[in-house]
Amino acid sequence: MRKRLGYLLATVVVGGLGLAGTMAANAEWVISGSGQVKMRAPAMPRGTTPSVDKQSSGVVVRWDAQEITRGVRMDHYVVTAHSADRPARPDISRTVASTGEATESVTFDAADMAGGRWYWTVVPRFARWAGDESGKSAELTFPAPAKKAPRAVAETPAAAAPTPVATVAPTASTEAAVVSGTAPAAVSRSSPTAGPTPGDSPPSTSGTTPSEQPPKPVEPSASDSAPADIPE
Amino acid sequence: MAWRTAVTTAATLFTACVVAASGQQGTPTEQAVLLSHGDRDGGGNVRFLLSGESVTGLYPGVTRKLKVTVANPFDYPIALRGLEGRLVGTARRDCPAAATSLRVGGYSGRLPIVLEPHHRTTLPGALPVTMPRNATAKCANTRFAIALTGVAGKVAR
Repeated sequence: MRKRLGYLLATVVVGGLGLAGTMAANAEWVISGSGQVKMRAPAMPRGTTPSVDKQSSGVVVRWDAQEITRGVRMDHYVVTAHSADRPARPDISRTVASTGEATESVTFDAADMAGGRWYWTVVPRFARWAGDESGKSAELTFPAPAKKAPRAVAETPAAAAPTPVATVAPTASTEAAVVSGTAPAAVSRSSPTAGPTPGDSPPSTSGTTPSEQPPKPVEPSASDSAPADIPE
Repeated sequence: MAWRTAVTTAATLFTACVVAASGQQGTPTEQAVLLSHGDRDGGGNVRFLLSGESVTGLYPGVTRKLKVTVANPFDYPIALRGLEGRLVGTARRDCPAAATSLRVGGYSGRLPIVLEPHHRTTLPGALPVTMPRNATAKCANTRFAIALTGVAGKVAR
């Protein structure tokens, strides 16, 4: 009797283990798969060189809209006016939201540009991404505001001081100092393009020294209507 | 007395076996990790193959669909039960392989899908790949590597 029970138990144990093992094997039959995909994000393009159109109110900067990928335009652009003067004035930047048009534009006020020579560049942007800066636009020269002229003239004779002039432009100061000796000569700057460029004048700042005054009067005489503080 | 001991031992063994069998089912992801070293798993089984179509036009704020193709190299049908993708590398250190650079979502289609023996199929669903709006500028013009992992089971004939 005991033997039979023993055999029965052994059979049950072996059978149970077999059944459980089979169940476990079926449950464990899991196969894995793997692979890899590579992809590339697009590069940001270089900005397109802008064109500039000088108007009475300022300058209109235009450039072609750009895409980050086919059919998706940049969401904004950073347009920067760079001073071509020496020493250079601080850059003036404008962030321009994309209009979706084929051409984008922004206007810089003449008041901000006054008395300097400038060129513009464009940087396309999308979210935090930025492209390379575009090439330089043509340079434009802006005369100093007319309002300042009389004041500068009025001051110069009094003190012949470089201080008032210096605030406007370093070059002007030189010439003003020179002019002061001769009088209303400051007028020479009325024609912006006639005189030397501001960039050229810095060297002449050394000319503020009296020793260099003599040669200067020659220039003012060329145009006798410009205020002394106008660099060009 | 001896037979009591035998019965107790048998019962213990049986219980342990059943518990072990039920406890090892686990989650598909765990299984995938367990089996994913080398081209063969611990039991010498070949893995099935996953491949994806390269996604283009990834830029900040956009979501693209990554289509996946599965190849069953076995002589029997398998049922694909799980599929996932994970960003595992980028070509630039400044663009980290993290969710801040690229996110891969869960499979959008229905599972399981039965794959016939030696059959290759492109899944109807896709894995959404999203580049966050604030992805760093260093991620522009950068390559990304996404690892695909799938789990399948043998289908009884």
